Amino acid sequence: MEIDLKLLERLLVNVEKPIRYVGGEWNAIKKDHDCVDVSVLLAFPDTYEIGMSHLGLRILYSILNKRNDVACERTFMPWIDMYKAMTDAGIPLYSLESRIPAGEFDIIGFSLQYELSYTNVLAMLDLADIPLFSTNRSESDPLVIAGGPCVYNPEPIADFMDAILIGEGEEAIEEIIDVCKEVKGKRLSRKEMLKEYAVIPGIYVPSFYKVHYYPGGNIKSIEPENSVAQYPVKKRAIKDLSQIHYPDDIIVPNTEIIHDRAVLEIFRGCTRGCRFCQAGMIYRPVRERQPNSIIGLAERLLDNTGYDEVSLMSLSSADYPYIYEVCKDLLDKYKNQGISISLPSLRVDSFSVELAKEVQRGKRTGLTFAPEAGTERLRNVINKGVTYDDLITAATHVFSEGWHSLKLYFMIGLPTETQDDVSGIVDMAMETLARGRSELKKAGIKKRPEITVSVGSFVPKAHTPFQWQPQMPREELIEKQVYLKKHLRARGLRLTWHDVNASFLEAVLSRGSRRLSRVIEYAYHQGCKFDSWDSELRFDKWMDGFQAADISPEFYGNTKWEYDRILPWDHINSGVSKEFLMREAEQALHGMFTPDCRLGQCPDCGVCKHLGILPKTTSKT
Amino acid sequence: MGPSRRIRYEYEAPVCIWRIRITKTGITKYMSHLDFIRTVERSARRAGLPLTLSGGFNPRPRMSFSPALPVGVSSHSEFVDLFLKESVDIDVASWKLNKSFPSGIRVIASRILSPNVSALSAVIEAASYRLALHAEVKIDPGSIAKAVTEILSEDSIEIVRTTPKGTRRINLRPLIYDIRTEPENLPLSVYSVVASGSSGNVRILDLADIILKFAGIRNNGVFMDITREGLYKFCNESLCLPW
Repeated sequence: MEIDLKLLERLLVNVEKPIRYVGGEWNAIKKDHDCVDVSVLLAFPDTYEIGMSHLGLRILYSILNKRNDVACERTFMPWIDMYKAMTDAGIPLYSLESRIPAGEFDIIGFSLQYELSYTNVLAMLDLADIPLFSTNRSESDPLVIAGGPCVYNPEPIADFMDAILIGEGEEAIEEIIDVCKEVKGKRLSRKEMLKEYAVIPGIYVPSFYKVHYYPGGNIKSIEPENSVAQYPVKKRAIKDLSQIHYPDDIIVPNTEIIHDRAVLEIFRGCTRGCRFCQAGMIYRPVRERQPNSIIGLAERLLDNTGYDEVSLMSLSSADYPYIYEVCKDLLDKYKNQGISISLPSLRVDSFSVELAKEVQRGKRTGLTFAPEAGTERLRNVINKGVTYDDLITAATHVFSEGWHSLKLYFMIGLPTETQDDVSGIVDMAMETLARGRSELKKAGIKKRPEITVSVGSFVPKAHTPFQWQPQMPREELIEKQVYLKKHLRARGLRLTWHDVNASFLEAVLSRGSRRLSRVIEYAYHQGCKFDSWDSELRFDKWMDGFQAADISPEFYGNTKWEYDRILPWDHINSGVSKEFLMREAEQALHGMFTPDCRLGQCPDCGVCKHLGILPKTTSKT
Repeated sequence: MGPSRRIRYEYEAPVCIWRIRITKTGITKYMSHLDFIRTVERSARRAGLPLTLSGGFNPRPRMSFSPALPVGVSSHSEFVDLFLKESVDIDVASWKLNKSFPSGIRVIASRILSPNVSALSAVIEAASYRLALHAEVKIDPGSIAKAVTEILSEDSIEIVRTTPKGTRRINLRPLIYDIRTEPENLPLSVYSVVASGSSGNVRILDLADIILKFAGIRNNGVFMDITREGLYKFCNESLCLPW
């Protein structure tokens, strides 16, 4: 039953930004649930502003609502004040469109974008009055599923999910709906029902697998328990983006969200092969959209939303062969209409600066470069093909073109890192600042350069060449942060860093096994929510949880694992072979660079072979 | 080449101002003023109105808005000036804009004005509000009626207003032009006309607090539905709409 708006309004007057909880946005779709066969609730375990900025949610929302037999709605994690108000008033988690309690939907799909949102998943299930553990759910509960990059190691949240989709959802979600329609009338037991879903390619039903451990916690084996359980579970991937619906009628929020602009995915995947980067492995192969299709989509997006900015999104937008032409075309077309283009994730090179110059003709936002590491040696280890000269040349270019602020992104705690590498960060930042001063002066600009150095901590991720590598102990990471704080002191220089406790938890959950579900549950029951928010993280409660479950977090976070060890995610196949990852791990230790396959040489990562999909590029000839 | 390549947009002179009176009701009452501005801007762009752009490096559609409403207060009377580069048929333009607004925002009246008219912020001098008690609230309507009578009989009602510049005491009484109960609305509503603008301003939430205080009710914020009913200028001692 729909939640009475009057009842809700009594809560809304007392919470921050109530507009987040009432829906009613432009392009939102509200259907009569009595007139559809299946209702789906897309649940994002973070605030409205973050969740609405996520492209995957928008794509699935659009695909599902295009079907006449489906009503797809949204829900987000209510902020602390609203969560408490709802709990106190007995109002369950509800959908924004129809204000229907989450528990009344047929399917709830969680988007798992980062590990530190896991307690929010539990909080949302709890607020929806749905049992946290899959095994405790009854026939009347919704099917609780999950997807997103985190599920490439699904184990820590496996016990909370009825089913998990590995890989891209555009096609699989329709198959899930079809199965749902079929099983609805059949009065099957929960287990029988899950068997129907388990045969959909890419679907992992955790309860159908048994994990056996050695004493001490090492995994002995992961075995499917019945004949319908896939082994391994191979990720789903779209062959050709042009064959798949892309939303040109995205919701325009009634309040400012993090990425408040029209979003257009120009290609998917990246094969630059940075060895720490999970996105660069799991989204392979590269599949590009055609330039004229991009132009057409951009026009429809702008017309349908009224946004004045379109973001040409991908993992490395300057890599798109026709990026310059596409930007120029769009800018010429929208000249004098106050429309701008944004390009996330630029490379460290002069082409990117020229490109930024073109797209930021009027409004200028700052630029970000990510050299990631401080020395040539370490950049070879991580396969980041950027030299010192590349950065200094590009930065010089940036300032001579009149920008005065630049952000540099680095990581500490990378495998093989030494003090030289950390000092290298200081050298690069200082030289960039010096170039900034001289170039701005030369150009006659009276502004001081502003350099923001953002330093993250390395987190080993599943399905990357560094998956066997430990995260550096927190004390050492702190030492490095202290060193940087001491040496990166200059006028115009700003240093930001990540909380090492949060990075540590992220590492533990990234490489965690199923045993961690008890720890997540414990942390949630101790009040942990919004762990990715520095202001909300209750690290001590998490540590209590590890102790209570007799699990050493260092075993998952800070231990180097041998190649022959069974990994918690060994039954999940990203298409990229373990042999390739091992080879890359070895290449890394020898500082050997592996070029991007788009340049012609196939490093045999295995993805094309395993998935039967070829890279789709619009290469210029 | 060099920084000179950066384009500074010329300011476009409007041929007319389309002044619209719009509602902000339903869930849109929860939009902040900034949210509301962004929404009207995007709706106008979706409607394809011939908006002029401000000049500068980051040109924006030129619009100006009547004084901000607090979050949670509805309105039947928000005014917006849209600076247009060509005149429009107001019936057609209203229809287009209404099709592009999210539900809750609607054009209810409009006029084409000369681009030289005084700005909305300079024109508006008064606002009227209706404060309706929630039906389920158990309050004696008599206590509200008594509060209203007492407010009228006071010479001075001081409040402390905190601004970034510090705190100061203001006498609101002379800025309350009219206040009366409407027993015909169940259970009860209060209608009030107050000063609104640069030469004197009553914040409606302050007035709501004052009413509850005089009625001896502790305000926990859930007692009233507040709606801005009108915005006015003075024409020979009487109120008229800011056309």
